[in-house]
Amino acid sequence: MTIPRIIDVIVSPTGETRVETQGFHGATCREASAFLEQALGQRASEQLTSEFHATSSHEQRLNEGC
Amino acid sequence: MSHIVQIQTEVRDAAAVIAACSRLKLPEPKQGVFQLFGAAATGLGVELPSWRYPVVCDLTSGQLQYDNFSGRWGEQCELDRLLQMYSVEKTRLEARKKGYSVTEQALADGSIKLSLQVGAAV
Repeated sequence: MTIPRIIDVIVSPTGETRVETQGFHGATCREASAFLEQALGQRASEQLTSEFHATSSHEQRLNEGC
Repeated sequence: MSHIVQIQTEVRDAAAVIAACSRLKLPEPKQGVFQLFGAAATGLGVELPSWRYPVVCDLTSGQLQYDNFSGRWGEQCELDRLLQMYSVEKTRLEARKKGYSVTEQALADGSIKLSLQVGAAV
């Protein structure tokens, strides 16, 4: 099954930007959106979602099993 | 959704400033030294509608220099619109460099949402 990988960029009417990633496994979302974060300005905050932690834990379990 | 990052915009890309001005139907920005009320500023000057002095973009620091006398010499919403469109055009430019397709959507609260299709994960 393929999951679309999407980076959403939401620019507020005052110019602040929010970057959200969807469909990435664990920390790969950070690598995927880093180019945009660097290009747009200074990171003010970061929120890791449950999907981030779920996939990271899953990957960790897989790695431990190898 | 796996992570959410809030970014404070810095204006560092002349091409994105020019694209934003074009989209807002503003005069093409010019590089130079501009006289504001109390001092001169060097950078890329943007003329906003009904603003007495230009907004000067220092592309090295990413900061803006302007003097609108708390709205008396130019409405803040004009500058906000410029910053919003700069971020939109900068995102489009960066997405194009990566070969990602972009869809744009206007949201009810005045925000603009860009969706970059990165590909599919298996």
